[in-house]
This record gives sequence, structure tokens and C-alpha cells, in this order.
Amino acid sequence: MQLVSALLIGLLFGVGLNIGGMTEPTRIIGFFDVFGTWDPSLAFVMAGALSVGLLAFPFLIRHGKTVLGEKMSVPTRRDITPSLVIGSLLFGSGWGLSGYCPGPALAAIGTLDTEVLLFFAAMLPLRAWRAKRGRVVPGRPRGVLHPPKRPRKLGAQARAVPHGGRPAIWETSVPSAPQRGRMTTRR
Amino acid sequence: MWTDIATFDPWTSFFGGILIGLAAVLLLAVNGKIAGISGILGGLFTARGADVGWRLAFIAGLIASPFLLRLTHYDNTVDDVNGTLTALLLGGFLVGFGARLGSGCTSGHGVVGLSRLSRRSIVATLSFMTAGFLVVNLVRNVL
Repeated sequence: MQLVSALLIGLLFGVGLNIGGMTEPTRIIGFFDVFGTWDPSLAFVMAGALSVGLLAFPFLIRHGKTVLGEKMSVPTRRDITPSLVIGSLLFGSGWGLSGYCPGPALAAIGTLDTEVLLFFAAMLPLRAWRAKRGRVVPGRPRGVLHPPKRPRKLGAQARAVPHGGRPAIWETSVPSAPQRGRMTTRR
Repeated sequence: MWTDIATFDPWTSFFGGILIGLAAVLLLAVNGKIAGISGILGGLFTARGADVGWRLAFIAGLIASPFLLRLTHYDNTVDDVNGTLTALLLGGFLVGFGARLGSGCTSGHGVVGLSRLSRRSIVATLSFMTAGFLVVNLVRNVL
């Protein structure tokens, strides 16, 4: 049931992205190119999505349970952190450069267009590397990364680093274990 | 093949947006999950057991969507006028890293987060919109 609904909802999401023109990078870049040939599509897609979302989400979240009576996982964090802002600025820069973000890239990847494949390949490795940092423990506050259960093997760590095993620059600045609980990411 | 590229139709865009919003609402209402694509995709690297299936199913639906549209004769050819190799690779790298560091992307922050009126998502959305605006105009008009 959960699998079927997730599949159909993914399909609906993708159809929306395609119809909204979000799988065409020229529209994304065109949206930001206000001094050139401005393409306001993105604003209308956002308006459409928010017109449904703003009506339904507050109601859903107040209800607190799914239609099957199961619990929802909703982010509870409220703190504005440097990583939130810096991460979003980096994300926006990449979005503007390429015209793709994760959703549309997935919704267009089936066309096997070379550009989407290149973008996707460049996007994935770091995602894997960050994810290996820790795991999200069910039942604990969402959005908090916890240290891995088993001690990380150096070999496994090196394989997860997309630089041929050479440690990345920022690897040296990882906070030590007691602080790591404060690190966040996940939505 | 180039049906509607570079033509702008507000109602089509708005309708596409409504479907996206509807999907995001349904995923929370039925599956109890937040429709943040970067989170769903990234979570695959750490997910275990029952947490894997719905992610794969959702992603499969997303990937299958253009083929469903093609069955209905909706032609949405992906354009290839854009992008140098550098822009795509650097862009992909920044999107992957930035979404992880910033806890979300256009869907998670921009659609679901704004709908929930989350302060974090409002800040994130303003940040990535500003960065996108600056980068595009830098590339288009300065470089």
C-alpha cells in the first residue's frame, strides 16, 4: 500500500514538474534572467504548488496522523544555522549554473539526455559522502545526525570520498564526537 | 519536436504547480513523509528496512513520469541549448552538496517548507533564490 501510493505520488509529482516546464533548464535560468528574456514560469509553478500546500499543510499537520492513522515525520527544527544559509546559497548557485535541481533532474533522467546525466552524476557522490557521516535514529528528534553505531573503517570512509580516497579539504574541520549531535541535515 | 520551449503559458505552469502541491500534500497525508526530493534521494544512502521501499517507489514514479506523459502525447522534449560541461558538473556538485548542507532543495524548502510556514525554509528559499539570481546574472551579463 505504502509502496503503491509512493509510486503514484512520485508519478504525479513528476507529471507536475514536466507540465510546469521545470524539467527544461532554460526556464529555470530564464526565470533568474530578469534583464534578458524573462521566463516567469517558475513563479507560476510555485504559486500553483503553494496554493494547494498553504491550504492543506497546516490542516494536515494539526491533524498529526496520516489517513491510515500512522505517524507523520515532520521536521521540528526552528533554528537558523550558518549551514542552512551557506548550504542554500551553494545550492542556489548550482541551480542557477546548471538550471537543474534534484526533482526535475530525476523527472528528466529517463530521457537519457546527456546533460541531465552529467548533472546527476556530479550531484550524487557528495550526497553519498555526507550521508555516511552519521545516521538518523528513529524516535530521536528529526534533523539530527547521530554518530554511526559501528566505528567507521578508514577504508570504507576513503571509498565514500569522491576524490579517489584523498581526504577532502573540509574533512579536517569535522567536529569531534560530542559536538556532532548538533550537526543537522535532513529533510 | 520543440513544442513549447521558450514560450510561456501561465496557466500550464500554474496547473503543473498544482499537481506538484497535490503530490506533496498526498505524500504527507498517505505516507506521512515530507516531499523533499533531495532528502528522499539522499536518504537512500542511510535508509534501512521499511524506510527504503517508499523512497525507491517514489523515485521510480518520478523517473517514469515523462513516459506517462508521452503516452498521452504530451511532448516535452528536454532542450539541449543550455549548459557548458563546466556549468553542469560544477552545478551538480554544488546542488548535491548545498542541498545536504542546507537540509533541503526546491521541493523540501520551497514547496513543503513554505507551505508549512517554516522559518528555516523561508530563509533557505530566499537564500537559494538570491544565489540563483546572482549567479545567472553574473554568467549572463558579466562573464
